[in-house]
Amino acid sequence: MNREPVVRFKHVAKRFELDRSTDRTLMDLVTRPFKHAKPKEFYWPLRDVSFELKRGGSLGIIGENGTGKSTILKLIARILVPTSGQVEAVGQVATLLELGASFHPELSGRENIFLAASIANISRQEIQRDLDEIISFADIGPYIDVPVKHYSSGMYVRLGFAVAVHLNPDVLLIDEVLAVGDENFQHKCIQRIKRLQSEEVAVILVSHGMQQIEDMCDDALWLHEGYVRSIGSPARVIADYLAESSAHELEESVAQWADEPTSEPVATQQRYERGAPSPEAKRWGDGSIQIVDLRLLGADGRSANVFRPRQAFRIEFDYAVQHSVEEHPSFGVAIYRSDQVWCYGTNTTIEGICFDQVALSAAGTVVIDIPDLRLLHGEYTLDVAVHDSRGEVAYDYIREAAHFYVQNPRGDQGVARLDTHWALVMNREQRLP
Amino acid sequence: MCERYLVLVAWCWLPAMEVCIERFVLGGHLRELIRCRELVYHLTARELKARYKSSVLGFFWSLLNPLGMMVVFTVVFTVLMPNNRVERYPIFLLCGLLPWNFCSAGVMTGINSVVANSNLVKKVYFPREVLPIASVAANLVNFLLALLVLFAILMIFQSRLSSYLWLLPLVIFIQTCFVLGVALILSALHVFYRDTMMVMEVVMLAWFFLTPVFYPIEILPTSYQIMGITVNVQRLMYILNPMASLIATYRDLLYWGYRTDLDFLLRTAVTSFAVLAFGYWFFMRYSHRFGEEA
Repeated sequence: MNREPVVRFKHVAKRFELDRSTDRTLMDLVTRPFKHAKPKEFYWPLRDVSFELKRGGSLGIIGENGTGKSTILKLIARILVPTSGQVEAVGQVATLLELGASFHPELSGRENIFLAASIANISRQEIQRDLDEIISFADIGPYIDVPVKHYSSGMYVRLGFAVAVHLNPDVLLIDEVLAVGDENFQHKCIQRIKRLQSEEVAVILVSHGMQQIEDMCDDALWLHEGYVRSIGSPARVIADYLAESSAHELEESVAQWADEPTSEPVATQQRYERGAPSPEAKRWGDGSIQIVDLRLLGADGRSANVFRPRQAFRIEFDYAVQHSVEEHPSFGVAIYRSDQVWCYGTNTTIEGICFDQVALSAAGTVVIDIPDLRLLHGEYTLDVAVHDSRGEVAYDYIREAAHFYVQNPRGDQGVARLDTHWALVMNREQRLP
Repeated sequence: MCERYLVLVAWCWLPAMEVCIERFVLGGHLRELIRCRELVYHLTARELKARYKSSVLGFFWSLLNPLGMMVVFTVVFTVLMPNNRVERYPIFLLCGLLPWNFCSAGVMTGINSVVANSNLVKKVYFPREVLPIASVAANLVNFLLALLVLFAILMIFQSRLSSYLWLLPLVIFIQTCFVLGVALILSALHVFYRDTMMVMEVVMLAWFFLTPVFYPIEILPTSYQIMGITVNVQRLMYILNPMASLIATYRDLLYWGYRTDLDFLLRTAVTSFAVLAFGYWFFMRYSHRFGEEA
């Protein structure tokens, strides 16, 4: 179907002035002519961006942090104006840049609904009609007449979302906000957005959740250094994006934990999840044996971090023995999904491999081959560890040592693929009339 | 003479008005603003509610505040400094103080209106001029309520009301235009230069003393020698300070019971509208940058 575009970018560039702290006071204005003029520094999140979004279409924007994804949304919402080029947006634009941004703490939920509606230029009568639906969607019941400053953050966000999706927008801009709220509400939000999509509402989604973009968008746009690197079907664009960022990302995360020194041994009673000394700790252990490098290899034997189910997957990590240890050491790995589901964990003790103290040379590499990766679509993190054979003393534990993604073109859902054999058994006696 | 002057002014203004209509009305800015009148209403209500919700006496503060000021000034001027006796001083004072409070509160809250709502300005689009308009409107509501108190006091003093009282809404309208114009200019300036507020606090204090709020303008000399030039300070005050003219008009209507001079009122009106027009133009010129600066 040929539909008219609702959002159009034509060679849009946007720059920000860095260091706006000077020229901030009237004093600066007066003394400026006498001072040595410092050349202004600019930052260009967008240099040349052109795209079109048709009515009812949906576009996911991906790219590294600070590449101007949010700037695009703000330009569409007319909060910012482009430095050059043209931005056109037709009709009512609703923004989910920050849920409940327009709320005033002293006003009740109900009053804030009317306020938010009037900001979006929707009359009192119109919003009155949807009022009950908004309140039931936000699920805040009697609290609707309480000032929003007494709301919990969850209630605040729920009301914010409920209002935004009920403003009958032509274009809906979503910036990472789906990561808030409980699971149940997130699901409800996504269902609602999908319904809006079927009602011809154009959606632009900025997210780091690659899976979300693949699920919800017809097209994906990869923004790289102010230019559109590629635009097209989400699966392809995301695969390209991940392939490029993979090598770089792994290097970066290894560099990050390699800088962090291992801390003192952890007393049993102090342990948090995964045996960490504090909830935020990324690396701990007494450092007798240290992990110094980590590589993820794909089926072709090259470094990668995007994989597919049923492919070969190899984890390699290098260790260095600092002090000899009394126990037989045990090497382990654990895989967590981005929503903290513990997908798999094992170590050499469980696998029945015993490294003799003597056999362990001063440095070496542990290689774990997974010939048939059974994980399904998602983002995963990998923990690697060396500890004593009983798992009580950590020599070195690195949480989230590496990130990787699994793309599943087949579309079966869940954590892992199970081998299934299907059969259809016909009941001979009962025939269709 | 006076009529000719008016015709001249009108002729000069016509082309300017035409340009304004073309640029703003047809350009869609004003139309967009008119579409947003419900937002203005909500923001005004929000400002009023938010201001009084957490205080015990609620909106009575807007009435008690000028009454308290009235008591203070009456004591100072009739007991401590009995030289400048003014008849029915409380009424005389309130006729100046209430419009002045409207002006000063309107300007001071107006200045901060854009910056104080920066969370809104950075996250949602709407015509930005709505913010100073709403904050001036909230102060206008306060002013109107305070006027009710003034009328009650007029009753108590059994003051004779002027038969030209119907001009009062017009005067209020002219003052609102003036205050809004100033608020528009300063709120836009405040976004870029954050010490506007600090400077204005001092300026407002000076302005208060330079405006005949608590003293009659007649105490100012009509001829004053400064560097060999004779100036009529009274006249200069009316020319340079629209608030002096406005307060004089309020007093004509409410205190003296006089019909006020129409050409005087008209000149004040022209000044106010000019300030508003300039303020609007200035605000619109810079408002597109508020999203990144506020």
